[in-house]
Amino acid sequence: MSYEMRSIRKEDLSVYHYLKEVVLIDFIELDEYAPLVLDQKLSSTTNDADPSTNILVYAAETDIQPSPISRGRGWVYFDTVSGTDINPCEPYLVVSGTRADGVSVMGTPEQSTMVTVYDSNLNVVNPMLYMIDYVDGRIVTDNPNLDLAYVTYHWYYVSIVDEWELIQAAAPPIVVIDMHGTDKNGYQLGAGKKVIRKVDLHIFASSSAERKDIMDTIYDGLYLKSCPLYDFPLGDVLDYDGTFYGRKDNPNKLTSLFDRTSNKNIIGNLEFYNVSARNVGLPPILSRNREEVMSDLNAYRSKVSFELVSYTYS
Amino acid sequence: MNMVMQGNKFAKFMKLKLLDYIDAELIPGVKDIIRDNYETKLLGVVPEGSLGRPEDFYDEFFGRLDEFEFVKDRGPIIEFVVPDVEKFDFGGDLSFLKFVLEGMTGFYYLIPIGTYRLLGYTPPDLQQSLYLVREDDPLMEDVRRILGDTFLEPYAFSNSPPIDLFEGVKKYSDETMSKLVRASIALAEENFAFYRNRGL
Repeated sequence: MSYEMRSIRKEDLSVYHYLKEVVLIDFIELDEYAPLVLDQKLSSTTNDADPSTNILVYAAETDIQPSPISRGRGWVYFDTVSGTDINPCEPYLVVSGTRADGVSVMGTPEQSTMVTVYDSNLNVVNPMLYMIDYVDGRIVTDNPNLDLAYVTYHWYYVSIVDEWELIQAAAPPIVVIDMHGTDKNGYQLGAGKKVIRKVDLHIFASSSAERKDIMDTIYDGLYLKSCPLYDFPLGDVLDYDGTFYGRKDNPNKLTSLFDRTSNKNIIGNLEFYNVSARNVGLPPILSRNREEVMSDLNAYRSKVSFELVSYTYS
Repeated sequence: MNMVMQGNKFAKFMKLKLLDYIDAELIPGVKDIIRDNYETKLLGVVPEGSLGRPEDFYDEFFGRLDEFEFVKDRGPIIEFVVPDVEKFDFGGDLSFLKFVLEGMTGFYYLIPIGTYRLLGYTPPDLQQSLYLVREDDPLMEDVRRILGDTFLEPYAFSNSPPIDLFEGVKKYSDETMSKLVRASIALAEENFAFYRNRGL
């Protein structure tokens, strides 16, 4: 018996990727030449009999706030593209190749310009020699002779999470995707449904100006727009350990593409309807002094609400 | 001219009937949905004897709902206002309820205004009787030191996502209003046919 994600999970994930990789594409930051430090706890270097089983894990050290590896952020795993002929709705590479299981697809390869690792002489290290844990900001290699000293990486400035409880685990700005209601109606004679998901995006910013920027960027990214419903036949872009899916077995980026195939059961895209945005004004019952305002997640909140509509064939 | 007068009469009759229907059916239905939501989503969460129990604000909340201006009569146009977290009056003692409905991030303690005064602190807003205080607030250190563990239970709605107290109200209002408009038109047609047939 095979198990496949239900449509609601695919919709949730598709909206997540649309926000992260398309709408908030300008909210990407750069950290240059961060020192890499060997993490002894996570590394395994004790098997002298078979050194090929040893794993070395290097973590990037940084003082940047908010932390690039806090919940919902992480290093950027797709290249962004520039030029005059790019599609503004899909500002990433789509190339022909295969995904990790060998099936031919049009998909997006793992980045090759967003993370660069250097040795102690600041020479670029061949990316085929290491893997990247994009979630926790680590470089993983099985080569004990590799000199890994610094890393320059792009990271997602806005944390995007899908659980309210996770807000506490990250510093603002944070966007919470809350898909909280579903209605399904018929729309034609015969098979097919109109599926309406009610979605709220809760925005927690660190200043009034930042709240305005993020709220307006998201509003414009949704109003009169739509996004593809991806099929995720092999799961999400990243594997359970934060590495690009398929990279552990296969260093060739063109044969471990993220599959951009859309779900065949819906007509067209996921459409955003009834988009509205408002600031969340909380009553003055919070005890708060001047210093606390900056760290208080409730200080600068807003909410973007919309209906995510799709028409299914069955 | 006569046609215009008849048309005006028809519209007036229809409007009055629609207002009657709204009073008799739509508003009570909306209140029932909100009452049901309040009872299922808010009651029984905060332990008995604690501060800020939604049970203690039940009467005040529904008193304000009774006073809510559902219908705005603008002459030929009737606007039905669907209550939501923005339009409803959560001022005064119901302030903390709005906080609960919008969702709370982090852990908070409910502290009455008397405790503020007792410890020599100034409350954020003198109009309220209860305040939500973060666990890392300096006030909480003094509360623990001087008053003991009485206030050491975080508020039960701490770190909980938004609660939609008005869930289902918009959909019910839209569907019921369509039905009531159709019913009032039908009744107006019936009455006007009756008078017209008698040459009145």
